[in-house]
Amino acid sequence: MKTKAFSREIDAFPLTGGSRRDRLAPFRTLSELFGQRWMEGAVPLGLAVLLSVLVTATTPVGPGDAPLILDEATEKGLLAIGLTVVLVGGGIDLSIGSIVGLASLGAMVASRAWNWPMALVVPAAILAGSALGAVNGFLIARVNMRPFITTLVTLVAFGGAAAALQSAYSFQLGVPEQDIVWDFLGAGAVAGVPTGWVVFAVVLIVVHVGLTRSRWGWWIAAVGSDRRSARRNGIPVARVVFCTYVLSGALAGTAGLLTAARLGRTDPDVGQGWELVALTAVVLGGVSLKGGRGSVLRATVGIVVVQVIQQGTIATGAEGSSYTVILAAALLLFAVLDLKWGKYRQRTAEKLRIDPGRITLGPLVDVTEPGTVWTVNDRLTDASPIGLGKIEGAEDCAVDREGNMYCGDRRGWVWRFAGPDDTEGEIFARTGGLPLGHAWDHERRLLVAVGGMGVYRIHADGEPELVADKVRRSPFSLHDDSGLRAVDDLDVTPDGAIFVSDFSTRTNAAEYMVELVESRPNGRVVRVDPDGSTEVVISHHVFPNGICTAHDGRSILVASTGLCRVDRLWIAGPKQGQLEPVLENLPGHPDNINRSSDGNYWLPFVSMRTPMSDLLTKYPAVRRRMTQEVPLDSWVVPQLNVSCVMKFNDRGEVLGVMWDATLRNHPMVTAVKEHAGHLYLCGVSNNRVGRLRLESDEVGPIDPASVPGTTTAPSLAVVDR
Amino acid sequence: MKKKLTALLTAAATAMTLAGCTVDRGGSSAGGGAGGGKQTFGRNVQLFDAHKKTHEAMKGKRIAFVPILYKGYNLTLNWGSTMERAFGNLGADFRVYDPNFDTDKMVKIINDLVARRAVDVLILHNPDVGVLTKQIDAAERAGIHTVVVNMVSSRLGDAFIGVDSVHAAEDITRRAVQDCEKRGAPKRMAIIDGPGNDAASLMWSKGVHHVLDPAGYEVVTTAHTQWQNALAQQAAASITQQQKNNICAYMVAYDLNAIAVGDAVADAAERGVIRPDSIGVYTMAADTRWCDALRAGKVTASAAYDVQGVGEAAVVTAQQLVQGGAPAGSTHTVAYVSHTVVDRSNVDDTTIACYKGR
Amino acid sequence: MNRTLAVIREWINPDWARHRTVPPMEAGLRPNRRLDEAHVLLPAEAYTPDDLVLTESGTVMFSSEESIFELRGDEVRVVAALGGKVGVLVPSGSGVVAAVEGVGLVSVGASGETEELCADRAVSSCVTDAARLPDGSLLVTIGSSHESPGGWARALLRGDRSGRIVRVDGPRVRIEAEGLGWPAGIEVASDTDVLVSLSCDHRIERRMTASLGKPSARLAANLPVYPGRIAATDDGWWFVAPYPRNRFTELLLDEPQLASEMMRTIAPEDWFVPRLRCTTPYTDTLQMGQLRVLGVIKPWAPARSYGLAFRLDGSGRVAESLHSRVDGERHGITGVAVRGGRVVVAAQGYRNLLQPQVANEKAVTQ
Repeated sequence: MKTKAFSREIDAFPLTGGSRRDRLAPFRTLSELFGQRWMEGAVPLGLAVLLSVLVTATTPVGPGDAPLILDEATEKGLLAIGLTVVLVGGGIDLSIGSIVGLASLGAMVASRAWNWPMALVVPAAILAGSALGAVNGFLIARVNMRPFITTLVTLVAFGGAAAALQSAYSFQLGVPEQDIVWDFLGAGAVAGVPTGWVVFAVVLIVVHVGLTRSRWGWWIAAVGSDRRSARRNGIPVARVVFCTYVLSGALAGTAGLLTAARLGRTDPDVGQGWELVALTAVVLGGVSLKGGRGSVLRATVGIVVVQVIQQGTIATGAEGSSYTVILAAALLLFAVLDLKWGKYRQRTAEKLRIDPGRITLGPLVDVTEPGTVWTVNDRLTDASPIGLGKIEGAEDCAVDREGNMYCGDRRGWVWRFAGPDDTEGEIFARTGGLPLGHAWDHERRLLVAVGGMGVYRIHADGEPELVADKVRRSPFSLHDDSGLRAVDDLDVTPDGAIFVSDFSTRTNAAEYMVELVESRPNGRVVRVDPDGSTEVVISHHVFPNGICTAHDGRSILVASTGLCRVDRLWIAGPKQGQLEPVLENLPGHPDNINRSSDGNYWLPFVSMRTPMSDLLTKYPAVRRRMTQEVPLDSWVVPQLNVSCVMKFNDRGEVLGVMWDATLRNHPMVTAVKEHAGHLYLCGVSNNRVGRLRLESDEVGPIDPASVPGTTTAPSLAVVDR
Repeated sequence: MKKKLTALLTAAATAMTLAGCTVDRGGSSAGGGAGGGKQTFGRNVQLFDAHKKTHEAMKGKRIAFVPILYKGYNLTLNWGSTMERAFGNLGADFRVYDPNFDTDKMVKIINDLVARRAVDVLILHNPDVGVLTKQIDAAERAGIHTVVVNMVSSRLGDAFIGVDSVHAAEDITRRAVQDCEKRGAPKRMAIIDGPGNDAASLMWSKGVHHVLDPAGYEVVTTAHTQWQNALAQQAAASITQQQKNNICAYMVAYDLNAIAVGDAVADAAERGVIRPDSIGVYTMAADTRWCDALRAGKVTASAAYDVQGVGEAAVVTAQQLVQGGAPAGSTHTVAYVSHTVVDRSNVDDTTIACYKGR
Repeated sequence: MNRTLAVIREWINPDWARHRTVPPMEAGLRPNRRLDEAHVLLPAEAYTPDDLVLTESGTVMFSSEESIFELRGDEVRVVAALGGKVGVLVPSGSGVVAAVEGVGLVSVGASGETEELCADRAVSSCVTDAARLPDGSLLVTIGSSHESPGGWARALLRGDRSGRIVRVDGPRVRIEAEGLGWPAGIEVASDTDVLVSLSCDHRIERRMTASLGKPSARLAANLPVYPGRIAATDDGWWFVAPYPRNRFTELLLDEPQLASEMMRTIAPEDWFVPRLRCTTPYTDTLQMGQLRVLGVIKPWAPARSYGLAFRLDGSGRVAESLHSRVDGERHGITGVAVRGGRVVVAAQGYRNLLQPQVANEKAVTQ
């Protein structure tokens, strides 16, 4: 009886009773967004773009200005690219403006005064820029001087050299030289796009690819973020730093050449102040001043924004000095923002991570009222303890045919107790995770849902074998939810598939209480086929917990801890693929479901609802403030110290409820397993497993540990339901 | 097959790229650009019609004056106030854009105005012979008339108005030579000019050399001061220190710089480095402050020119260009205003000396 | 709006962040188990002692429900049954003066004869404590003008500041101070001033007897508990703290909408406020730290009820304290009496009288 594959997964969101708007978790989306690495430059970049939009809207800057802006942006953009590379490498280069001036004047002097052919002038200008950058690099990388002071000194030195050059050749410079190459560089076009823009685009792509995808680029980032580690890892730090300055100088030389061709300024102030503009643009774009992080694409956006702002101030006829004031103020603001953002991005993401949602529950049954099926009693109190003081947190257990009990432990172990008289027990397997749900498969091998790791099969020698730990990632999720991290309960269907509940894609298994506070549909139910492939069958469920194959093998019972309900998922028959309710509005939060021997089902409650916790489900904003302001120990959760075990049938009728009125022996029961007339009580915070003898009228002929529908289970006709 | 296809595609792409490669983006047609209108006046005119038509022609026209320096400099302030008065009376929209000595900024402002077609006439003051070439080109293409004042640009606009710097330099240098001969001072002089590659400095140097070289005078050094007073003072002080009494005169290109040079010379005389009144300070143009310095005896003489006249001439030229209706770039003219040598004896009587800012 | 500003301030500079917090119990208030180890005086769960007095003859007179009882050795006998809930007891000669809810101040002799002292409306409801001044008049604190003595939780949630101090001189009453936040304890400190413990403001103040309208000094502020009645001893004063401060209750005070819905829809014993004892665990709400792990509830879990009595010495420092922590049961201390070296506390939440060993215990026979 092979289960047909589902045509599509079931979205269980409507069970929460929320509207479409409740699907959105704005704080969580913000948190996920902030946590992404590419958001590092987001805030400064976003604000910079906003600023430029504002400028375009409020000043006469219009589309006619676009070529001008781009012309300026390409020259200063080359500087910004070079500066970005140097910053990523952990240094700073303040002399780029002077290199531009010197290269520009040098090119014009070479062309007009020394009469060099352009074929020589163009490479000479770039080489001259590289040579000047090499001076910086030598002083910083080899002589180990501080970058800031070194480049400040070279700024003055190169500026002085430019002034001297201009002064010496001032008359010859005044005579313009007609040359096709100058015209091409200054006013020409390649395929209709102005030359300067093409040069810039090529440089941008090459440097971007080099910085992000080549080994050299990674070395630069490594040196910038932690020099010592980089050196210890064998990266040639001095050579890398040297090369960043050479590249910066070369790009400055190219910029100088382009500006000489375009504007032909012959006064020695060419390039003065450009380093400030480049620095502003780079910071505006979100490149970190501390080094190790940055992208030339962001720097490009920054330089375009700076030029737009500058064009705005010119278009409104603002006074010359006010532009510098505006630029300096913007630089200051964005430097502060960059610092804060870098420091607090992760922290903000953490703070916003829990975004409680609203769920609607029905009215609460009063369990203290005498005479109802729910009335508190003492049935569980005298369950004889197994492994008292040895077991720490067995969430579920499994009993084999010989009466050996296997249970989990929060230290990652699976215990085996040979029988009720075994007080010592032995550690049967070490899983390395948090073993939660236990089940037996067709060949009577132990399946354990190990929280944090996935579904494992433990062989007779105690070796765990991975069955499944991944599903396909949700298409539109920022957060990678492809791992099965919070697997809770599992059961096997007649065709050999395993259904397992993953109660949250966002928290890990040990923090289930945080999930209770958040109450969002983060969970899902997954089917693992015998060949190991996985498929999500129910998505967007609130804390799906207990999974149990029904006695006829044609449906799965799914308990939702968060919504206090049990639903049935049909896996065969005419209603295959449908989810229908079985129990709703329970007075507590259900946990693992397991079959009973008389054709019914056992359902323990991990906690009970209280009037105050019900009230709080209606105030997600208060719960969010609680998670942000109140320490973890003081968070209000449902009453986890009180618990009971319930028996129900396929029609959804509650047949009986058992309590431990003292609340000491079994304050929290998370799973019960029936075997040979005894009920084994497990609690994930308890230090024992209880073994309760059942009354004879509570026991039936079915072996609850067998997979229903297989030959070992008796036929349905025998069972009187 | 695949390789052939790739090669074909690459060739096609290269061809298209190369076809799109041009040397001159805009492709300026030689000579005239756009922007012609029809003439305002015909052969005859009714008396009161003339008045009305003039106003109509100029009303609402946008005129921009972009000098390299404005606030605090009487030279350009003087022009600016003349233009403001005149264009204001005519109902035209006149604005001054002050780049505050930043050539980059000046270029950007002009680029912006031209790109947005926000002006009809541009009055420019070119600090560097070549820097406004492309801008004037672009203005022509956009139909904007250009008038360049005082410092010529190698790409002529529609008109240039200034002073005949070479001739004026020659005149004042002859006067300086005369003074030097009278004193019997050594035949050595020093030139102090501006950036050195601008029209004014180039022509000043030319004029000075025209006279000094045949006369056998030696130009000890040519100092470039970027029009900055501090640099001029520094240069003069160091040259005086070096040369001491071995120098006869300073030929300073800018009148305000001449005041600073005069101060340096007077200071050196006071300190005893040189004999008093042994070095003359000669310049071109006569600002009112220079006149004060002249009366105080710090500077010697100047080839004053009609600064006011330049401003008026620019106004007149602008009106002519607008009314003439010819397209921008179709005419090119160079015009000079008058100049004369002033010294203490005639400074108070000469109208064109001691210009003020308003 | 305030919250957004606070978030921005904290983001700009974390040092500017200001958050509510409950101060820890430290120094003199460091927790111990002295109340859990104390001597139990009454049979279990038989009475609900509210306040008590140690008489000269060594007996204990305590109020419970609507009667006053006397404990002599192991024997308990009824002294007087009054017509309303009896609260504070003040020694008066060989008997006591009792505040009876709905009646007023009643003088009860050692043999049970009652005499109404003052039936003025001002003192007939919600009397929390009383102290006898040297001149014979009584200073009585009224918790709230709108609530009954059991309405402390409602007063806390509503921000009720209608408490009063009233001077009673024979039948005459004079309101000395108004607008206080549930004054729960008053005791003579010296000839000229008294100590007042303000419960809802969790602080203890010194006030001049002549001008009770305004405080003259703060003895202890920002306590981690809500203080209650006071008993003077020769080395300071003993205070009781019936209710501990809980961080979530403070959050509730900041959420008026949630608080008002809670008061409207949920029974008062299930409100998330501190109380004298845990009534029904099945409908009680849990805080995460109170989870029973491996069979134990950790003693430092957040407290909904707590047992605390502490002694302040003359300089306002906590000299010693008696605790019953979260994993204990002896909570809800509402009254204390000291005579000689003997200290007896009334644990209303535990429904018993406790006699702990104290540091300044001289021989009991003194």
